[in-house]
Amino acid sequence: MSSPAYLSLVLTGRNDDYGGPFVPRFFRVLAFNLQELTARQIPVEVRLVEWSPTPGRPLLAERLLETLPSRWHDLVTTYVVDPQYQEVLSLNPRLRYLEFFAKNVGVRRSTGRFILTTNTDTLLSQRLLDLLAKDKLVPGRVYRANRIDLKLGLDDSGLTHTILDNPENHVPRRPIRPPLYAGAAGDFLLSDSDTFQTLRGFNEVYRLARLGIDHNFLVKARSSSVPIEDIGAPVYHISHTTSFQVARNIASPDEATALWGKRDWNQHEVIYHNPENWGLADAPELPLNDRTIRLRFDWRAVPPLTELRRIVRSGATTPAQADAR
Amino acid sequence: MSPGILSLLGLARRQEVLDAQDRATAQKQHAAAIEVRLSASQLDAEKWKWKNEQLAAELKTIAKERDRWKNKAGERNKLDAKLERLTQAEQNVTLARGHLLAMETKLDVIEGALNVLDRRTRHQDEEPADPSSDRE
Repeated sequence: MSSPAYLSLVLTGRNDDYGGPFVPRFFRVLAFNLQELTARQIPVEVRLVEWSPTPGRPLLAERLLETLPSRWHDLVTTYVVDPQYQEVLSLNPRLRYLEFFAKNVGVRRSTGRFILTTNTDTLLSQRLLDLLAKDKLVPGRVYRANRIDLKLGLDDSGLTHTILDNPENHVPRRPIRPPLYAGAAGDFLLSDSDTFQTLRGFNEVYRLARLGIDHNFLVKARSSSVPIEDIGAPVYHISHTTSFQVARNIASPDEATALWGKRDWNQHEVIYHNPENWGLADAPELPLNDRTIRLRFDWRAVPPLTELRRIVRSGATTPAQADAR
Repeated sequence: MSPGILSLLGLARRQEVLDAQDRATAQKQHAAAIEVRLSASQLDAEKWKWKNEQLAAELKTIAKERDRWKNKAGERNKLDAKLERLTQAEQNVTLARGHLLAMETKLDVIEGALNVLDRRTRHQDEEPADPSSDRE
């Protein structure tokens, strides 16, 4: 699409069978969302971050180009992140995937006016798509959406809005509420590019957890006086065996740590101030083809193992402010 | 008979007598009216006196009430000051809690970093020695 993107979709994943057959589920969801967005002529780009690819398996980027209809190839750029970043960045060796670090890589490289960080199992609802098509989003805000979980085992091979909107296919869930509108925030965080830049993306300092980093972003936004709003339309979530709602009751402690890292941390009270080169800004880029870029490992892109002054109380957005109070 | 001769005899003309009688009657009536007004004024005076006493009593009660409220205001000021100190203390507790949680988070990060470094050191030790380094 030649016109500049109105919306950047930031996604992360890898070819690792996360939550069962990850790849086909991801492709179906991506195709559904792209079909609906392009049908409404919403200029869109996808920033897929393939974080720490699984050794011995084809790249997700390669499989995507093989599977995705060619008319959408130009919309998708994949950043393949060298596994050494996961290795040296993690402060919790048992945590296998620094999801929000990966999302920051995509956010940092997005060119859309608005950026939506979402997940590979999240479908945009009809109402939400219609709303996006109206071009009424206001910069300087963080938009949240209610997530509707689809019943586990629902056939996702031929999803339509009729199936999605049918309450019989839904699992009841508590709606999001002010002030933070938290709850499955990782599935839908939408803001303009400048706001993401100002907030410097998701927490890159507390690299021990995966769970709660999205919530922590909302706390950071609120502490920085960025209004948070319910966009007023839902997204749908395809339930799978590693969905937190499903797996939290069945995962062993080791599995839980590998999936989500530390769970009981101060995500509600303590925030962060990422370094200027957040999102691996200094990682050297090596194009693998027109649509795929490898981020090569370079220590210059890696923040220090600990930088304690970047951990601040909520309400104080920068270390200087934290010291002053 | 002329008035001069009557006067000499100690007599007056009938008309004069009648006039004098009229004047006397008018004076009498005037005196009676004044008497009525006097009584009314006396009554008024009594009434005002009574009202004055009543107002004085009320004033006394009000003064008592005022003193009571003055005392209460003093107590209220003391309570206000206490409340202010309490609010301040609460803010300090919140601030201290925030610092404590930030400190706890920093400790998490330090612990994580130490674990990572420990792991790396152990891995280095477990790796076979590089033969090239033996030559040096």
